[in-house]
Amino acid sequence: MPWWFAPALATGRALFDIIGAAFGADREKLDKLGERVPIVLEEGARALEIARAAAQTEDELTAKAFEDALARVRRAGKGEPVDPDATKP
Amino acid sequence: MKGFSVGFLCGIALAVLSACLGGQIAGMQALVAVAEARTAAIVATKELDHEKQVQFRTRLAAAKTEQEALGIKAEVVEHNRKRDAVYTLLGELFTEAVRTTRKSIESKRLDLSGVLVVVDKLIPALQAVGVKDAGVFSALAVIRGGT
Repeated sequence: MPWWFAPALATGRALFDIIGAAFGADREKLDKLGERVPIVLEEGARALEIARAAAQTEDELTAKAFEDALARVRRAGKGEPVDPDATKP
Repeated sequence: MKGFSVGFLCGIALAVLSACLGGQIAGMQALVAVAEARTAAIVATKELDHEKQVQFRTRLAAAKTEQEALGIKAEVVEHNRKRDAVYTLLGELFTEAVRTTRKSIESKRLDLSGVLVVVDKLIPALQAVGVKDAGVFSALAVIRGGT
């Protein structure tokens, strides 16, 4: 057996162990991140559902405000009395 | 000495593999950032929409002429169009992030290009609707940095 065989084996093993440990830690980190993605995406899906429902409600309220405003200015144009509560949003 | 060289080369090869995995981690972190930025963008858009709609209703209630009311209505339509475009893109971003996650698990390789295409459309759309939330934009910047 050549004289350098033992130190080469030891160095190779040490290198392998160091990098292997880093590799294992990285794999664990990667798995944890992989688990987190669907959870956060699911939270976002719920938030989007709520936001869309809220947008629909807002649209309905604003559409009604427009109809009210139109009716009010038309009544005022004809010289009819205007409901004082109509100016409240 | 040949054994030493072989050992050394093996070490370099392992280090390269480790660096590749590091790249995957950066990519996966970017994917988490996508998901978080998306939720933040939804919340910011919803809050901003509420503020805008209240302003529109206040202005409509104070409108003096039919012309003025119709002008406000046109602004409302334009705002709603921009808001709905943002929500559509946020929906697309969800689909794209899910697809990327599934694909990366299958292929053990992260390719964020599809996500980035949607992010590139989303940033101007958010700005157009008036979202100024620094948190949203810094999170989107993380996504760009992760690639």
